[in-house]
Amino acid sequence: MTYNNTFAGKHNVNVMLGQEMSKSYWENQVGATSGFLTNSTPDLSAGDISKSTSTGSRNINSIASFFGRAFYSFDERYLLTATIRRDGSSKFAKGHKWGWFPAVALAWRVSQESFLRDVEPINSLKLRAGWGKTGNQNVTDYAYMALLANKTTPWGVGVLTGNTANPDLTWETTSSYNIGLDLGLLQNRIEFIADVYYKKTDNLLLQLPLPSFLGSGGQGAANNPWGNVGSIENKGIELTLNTTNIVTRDFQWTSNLVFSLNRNKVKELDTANSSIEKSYQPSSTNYIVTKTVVGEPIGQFWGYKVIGRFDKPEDFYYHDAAGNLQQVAIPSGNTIAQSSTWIGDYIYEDINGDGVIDSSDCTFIGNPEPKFTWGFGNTFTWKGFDLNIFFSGSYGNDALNLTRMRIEDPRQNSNILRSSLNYAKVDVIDPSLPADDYRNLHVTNPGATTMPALQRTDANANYTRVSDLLVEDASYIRLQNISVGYTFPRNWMRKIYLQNLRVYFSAQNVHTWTKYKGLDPEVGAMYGDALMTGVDYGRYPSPRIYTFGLNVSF
Amino acid sequence: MKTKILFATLFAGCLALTSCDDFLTQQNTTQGSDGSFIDNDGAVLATTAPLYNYVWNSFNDKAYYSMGDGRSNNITARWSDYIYPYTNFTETSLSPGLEDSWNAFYSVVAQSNNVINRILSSGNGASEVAKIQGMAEARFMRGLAYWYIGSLWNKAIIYTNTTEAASNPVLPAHRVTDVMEFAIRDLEYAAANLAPQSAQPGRVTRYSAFGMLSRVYLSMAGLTTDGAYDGTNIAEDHNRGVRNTYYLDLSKKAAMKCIEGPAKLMDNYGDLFAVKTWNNNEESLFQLQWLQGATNAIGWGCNNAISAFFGWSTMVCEVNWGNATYASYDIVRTYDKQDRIRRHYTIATVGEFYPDLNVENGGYTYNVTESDYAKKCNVKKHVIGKIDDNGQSYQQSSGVNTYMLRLAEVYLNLAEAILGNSASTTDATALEYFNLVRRRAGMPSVDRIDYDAIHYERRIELAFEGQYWYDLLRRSYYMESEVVNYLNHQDRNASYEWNEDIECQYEKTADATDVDQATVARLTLPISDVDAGRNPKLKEAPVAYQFGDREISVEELYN
Repeated sequence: MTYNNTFAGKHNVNVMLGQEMSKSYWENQVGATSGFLTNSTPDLSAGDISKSTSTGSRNINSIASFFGRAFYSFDERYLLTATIRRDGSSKFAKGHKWGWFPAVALAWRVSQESFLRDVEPINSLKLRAGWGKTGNQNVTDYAYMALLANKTTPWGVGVLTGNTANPDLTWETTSSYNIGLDLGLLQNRIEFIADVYYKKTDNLLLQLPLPSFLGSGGQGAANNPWGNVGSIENKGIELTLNTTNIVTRDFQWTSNLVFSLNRNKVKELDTANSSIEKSYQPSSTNYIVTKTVVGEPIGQFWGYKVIGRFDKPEDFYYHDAAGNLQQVAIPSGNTIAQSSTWIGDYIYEDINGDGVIDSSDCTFIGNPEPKFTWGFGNTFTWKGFDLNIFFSGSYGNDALNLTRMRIEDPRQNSNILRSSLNYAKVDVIDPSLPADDYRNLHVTNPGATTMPALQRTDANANYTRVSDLLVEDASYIRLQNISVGYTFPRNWMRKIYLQNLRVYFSAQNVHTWTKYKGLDPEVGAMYGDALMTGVDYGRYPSPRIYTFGLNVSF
Repeated sequence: MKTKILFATLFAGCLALTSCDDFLTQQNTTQGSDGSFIDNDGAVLATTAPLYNYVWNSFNDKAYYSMGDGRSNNITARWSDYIYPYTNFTETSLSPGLEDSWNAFYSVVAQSNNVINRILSSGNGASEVAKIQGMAEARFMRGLAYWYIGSLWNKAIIYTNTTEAASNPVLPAHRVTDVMEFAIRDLEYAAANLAPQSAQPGRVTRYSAFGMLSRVYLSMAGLTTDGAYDGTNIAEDHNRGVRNTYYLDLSKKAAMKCIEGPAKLMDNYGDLFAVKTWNNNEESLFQLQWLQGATNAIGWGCNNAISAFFGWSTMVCEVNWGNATYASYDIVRTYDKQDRIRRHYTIATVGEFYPDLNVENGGYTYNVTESDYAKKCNVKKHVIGKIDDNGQSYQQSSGVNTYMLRLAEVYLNLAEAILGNSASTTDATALEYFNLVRRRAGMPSVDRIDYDAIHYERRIELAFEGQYWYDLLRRSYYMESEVVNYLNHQDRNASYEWNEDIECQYEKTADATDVDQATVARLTLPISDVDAGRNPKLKEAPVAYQFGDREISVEELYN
């Protein structure tokens, strides 16, 4: 329902009220049987009924919204938009279903003011400011209630707790503030758009990764609970510059430059230890790969720091401040022994200084968030030809290259990189002395490799530990797209009764300049989970796509 | 006019709001709701049934034998990374299988707690008798899981409400003595409240609980000095050589209570592991209860996959991941030369004939039917043939149950409890039951029992049933140096070869090069980096658990 009116020539008011309700309903029924007599009777009833199975389930969620929008403008100079929504969701328990989501936006078209109307170079100038709240209800259906999982047992159907319920679950809300500027100069040949924003997300909805001692994994486990776990802030700048560089009768060159910069920080976490540790299991061991704590960006990589390698016997010892000989910290439970920690093994930083390496020596080892990202496109047209080149890039983002943990491990016997041959080679110092005494061993290629030795056992976990050696700079510049086209002149076409004929070729993902050793530096978020951004375990790389095309209009 | 419409709409909107809560309340019609499920006695049974299988599935898959037999060097498995680090003492807090095992036991704890609380909060729909029986079953499971955790990690996080613990998962670990006490209280509750006969075949009875108590008391006897545990009588000296007679006595009483029950030894050792007589036989006191059938029909979680991990070739098993998982040299040489019955049914040795395998072609002779088996002895106990041989083995679903407690062990617990702190015993009861186990295995009776005799008997009788490491651990509570020294002289991971001239028929050919020293610290498993990272309190010294009043009086239980 809308209401529109203009008062006194200059006051324009537009009010809209609305309501919507939606319900999603899924149902699946699966029947299967075997023992059919012929191929011509494939229906279920033609099979052996004693071998038939049937399963089915239903899932429903619904959402209801009331919303209104008021738009007011004065003399096309001052613009005000106010909206309000009230949304209710079936995904939350009674008392937590509804959320209010208001928003206000103000704009001042400065270029409409008398003092700017006659300033030649400025075609348009608009200042904007806005505030608003948005809601997110993206959780599993029924996560607020404790459901039972049906389990077939030798004594018939049994039940287990299917999920850890959270009856207090409610909307996640993001409050955004932004101010912006739209500027058009020189007959709009230069167009500049700038935005500065601050967003604060409260009641962040996440499925909490519970520790194993709560029985959170395996066949009999209940699903981890969803929770409103805290708040994070995002602030940043977005700049867009569109320019028309050259315009002649036959030739035109336009460019488009986009720059964005974002910083995020966790303001508050309601989890018990004020942190969220995400783990990933690349093969048979589960590792914490990212950790999120208050006051830091979300989802930073977490692990050990490799500060060296035991290249020679002396490396096992150091003199402390008092001049006493001390043993360099080695993993908890290990000794200097051939099946424990040995020459050629990594030295890890003993962060807490307790003389042993264990999980309390893990620390932040990288941040997947880029310092900034950008895109730069150029379009050239000359007569019927057009050429479009688009670059994009990201700077300052790290990636955790877990793939290397597997394919650079020389202990594996298949699918490994050639570089895994470059492991540290250990040999005796004096051939006349025993080869099983670490005091007579050294690494013979210390300068040539950062890899550890190939040991009898990996008790030092050189190859099976998430460390800063797996964190790589995943900054990149990518030639994202090149396309070339030719549009045949109209008057030629008319002769063969065509309206338009264009042939073109385009190549996407043409080349990437990066130091990243994985397949593709554009790693993204694993499973779409923001806390798993930049974790790369062989993500399928972006393909290069060549397209030849023909556009014909009759 | 327009204003009127506006207000009318607002009004209608407000009306709609009130009925919206109905629109926004959707029922799950596939899964029941926790709060309202238990409204009859059958629902209690449905609630406890998955505690016999699903929650133990991960444990059954690996930890059952990787910790029970791999760690204690009954198994040599050079390539299975969930076994060899534990055999070689090279495990770290990042080793494969570590978090899995830890998690596997806590799956039992977490879901048993859920069952107990679901029953406690249920209304009047189910009878009191059924509810108490259900809680006793859940507490049996929880108590047993805590006994495992306490044994392996020397501490555990004790919690009784999983949802509450999930809301604050930074919890301290509790002392091993408290963990054992907690396990004992759970099992004593089970012993006092479980029915003498199970409502459905395979469910635990009060005799199962007494049998399990006879084992758990033996652990507690090593951990405490004297008298009932009160939080202070913790044994500090792990080399003192004697155990708490209070718990030795309870162990004896519990074993006797169990023996009074209907359980009987099977006539033949081999029948325990024959498909037809395996499940819920008269000797079994507690078996994990698995479904029979293909996993594409029964799904995952109620399938017994152990066979796949021991099956050495496609002639003897539907899945053969176990070719390189075989008996250690140490256990091979330990078999008394008269102990051929148990050896035959436990490990495959050159020339042994198994009519239950390769049935169609007249049976299977190890290293004859197939060659290249002279340098190992694969584990026979869990290998029962293919579906054509037994009619029930599918891939990763053997359809046989997993032994968790059987009467023979209770007999041995009894003998151990009676031996107590003496060097040897000629006690008639101890000898009677000890010799029942031996004679069933075709071994001559003995007239005197000492620790070595019990050590041998337990290891051989229960080999590959996930027990031996726990035997050694409980010895280490009062004979620590002896156990550590023993672990360092087990020729772990040694290579061997068939040689008939030697009494045990196998000769060691090479020592391993990748085994680290056993130490006192190695008697306790590390805590995985993942859990220690999520709960830093796990690294701290364990704390005392605040127990409530004792629910079950020992005097009444053993009157």
